Amino acid sequence: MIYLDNAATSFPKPNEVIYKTVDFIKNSCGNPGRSSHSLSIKTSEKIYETRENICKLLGIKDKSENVVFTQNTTYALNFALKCCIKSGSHILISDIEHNSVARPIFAMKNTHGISYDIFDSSDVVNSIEKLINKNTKYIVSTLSSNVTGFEIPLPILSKLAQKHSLFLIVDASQEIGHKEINLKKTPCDILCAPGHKSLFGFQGCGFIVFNNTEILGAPLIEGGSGNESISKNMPQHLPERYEAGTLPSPSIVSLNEGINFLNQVTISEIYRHINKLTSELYARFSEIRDINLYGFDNGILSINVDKMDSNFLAEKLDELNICTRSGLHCAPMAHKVLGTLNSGTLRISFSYMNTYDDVDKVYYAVKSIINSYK
Amino acid sequence: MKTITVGFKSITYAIKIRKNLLKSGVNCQLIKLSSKTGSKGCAYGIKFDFADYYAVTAILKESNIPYTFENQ
Repeated sequence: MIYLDNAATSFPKPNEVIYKTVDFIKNSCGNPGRSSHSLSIKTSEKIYETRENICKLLGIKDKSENVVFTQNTTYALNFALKCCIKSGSHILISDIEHNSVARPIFAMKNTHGISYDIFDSSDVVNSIEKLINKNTKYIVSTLSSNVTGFEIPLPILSKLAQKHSLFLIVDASQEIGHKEINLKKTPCDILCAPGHKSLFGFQGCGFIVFNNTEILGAPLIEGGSGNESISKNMPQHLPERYEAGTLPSPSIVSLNEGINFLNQVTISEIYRHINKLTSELYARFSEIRDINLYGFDNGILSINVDKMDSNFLAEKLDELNICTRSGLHCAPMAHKVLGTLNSGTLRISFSYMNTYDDVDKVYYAVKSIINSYK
Repeated sequence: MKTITVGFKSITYAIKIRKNLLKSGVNCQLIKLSSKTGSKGCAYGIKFDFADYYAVTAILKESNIPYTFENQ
């Protein structure tokens, strides 16, 4: 099997991530922050280590308690937006947002009385500066499109937010683990990311990093926090303020091991590798007249074949044991920008675990499908 | 040996301080506070030797993390 759907979730995971997580499950997996026995304490320490590791990955020190775990980025973004955005505010979002940003923002128009405008991701500075009004308080943006990998650079967003005294909330789902993100040099107020994509953790874990605690609002979910049980309210302090209930400890531990793997290989080497694979495939596809290309970055490449449904193409590739994703990728806004809202695209997304052999196989597979069915 | 316990509202804070203390060469233990304390047993603390009192309080002050001394 050739797996080319890493923008959805990475596969396979590095062996050391699997072995060490299974070892944890077999030998140490208690409920963190609840009991006094060794399993609970060991798990608590592992969770803390993961918070520390995330902070180091993002270039910030001494803010481990500002890392809050959720079950995925969608929950992280919903928490960040619904807990921290003040009612009645004006918000700017990019024109390539995933539904995990777009849908909560659309819903908050009714629930929180917010208003929003959409800025042009291909002309960020001018577009944002034209849209800012006296009520604008927040910029919410992806750092990289999940459809094409197109990047909205954090340094540009960060500078704009600081210039206009706006809070900046970013979705780092496709950027983290591929490119360096340093929140000390290019700060944002909140960063949300998944554990299960380019950080090589298991599904079931995402996280929010609160780089600025002035932005905190009331919790979205109340429940057991393992401390101050006598109180009727959730704790005021991070991270427990937003972590009600049992954490997904095995997924969090796998995320920790994934980051350790990343640190061994280095992010620059990972980006060099996936960029080489994607640019090689892009170059080869550009020689086939029937293929429409939509740019590439961060290991992601979207295509369409003339007069061929992208779902049909994905099905035929699946018959050849090649895993891709077709359709709108939960990102209709991005497809509207590309002009592919009616057709969708076939998305191919690489990870560090892919090889040049995978590039060869998918290229020849697409070529043979075009020859067979056109 | 006489020991002192410092309580924290969050296990995350307790682990953070414990790590800082161990890095500074102060031996300490992470414990769950007893139900006789104000937390009613829903908090964690660090237990250390009385001899390390000044080293510990210096690290606590630097950390900016709220804490209480507990009768355990």
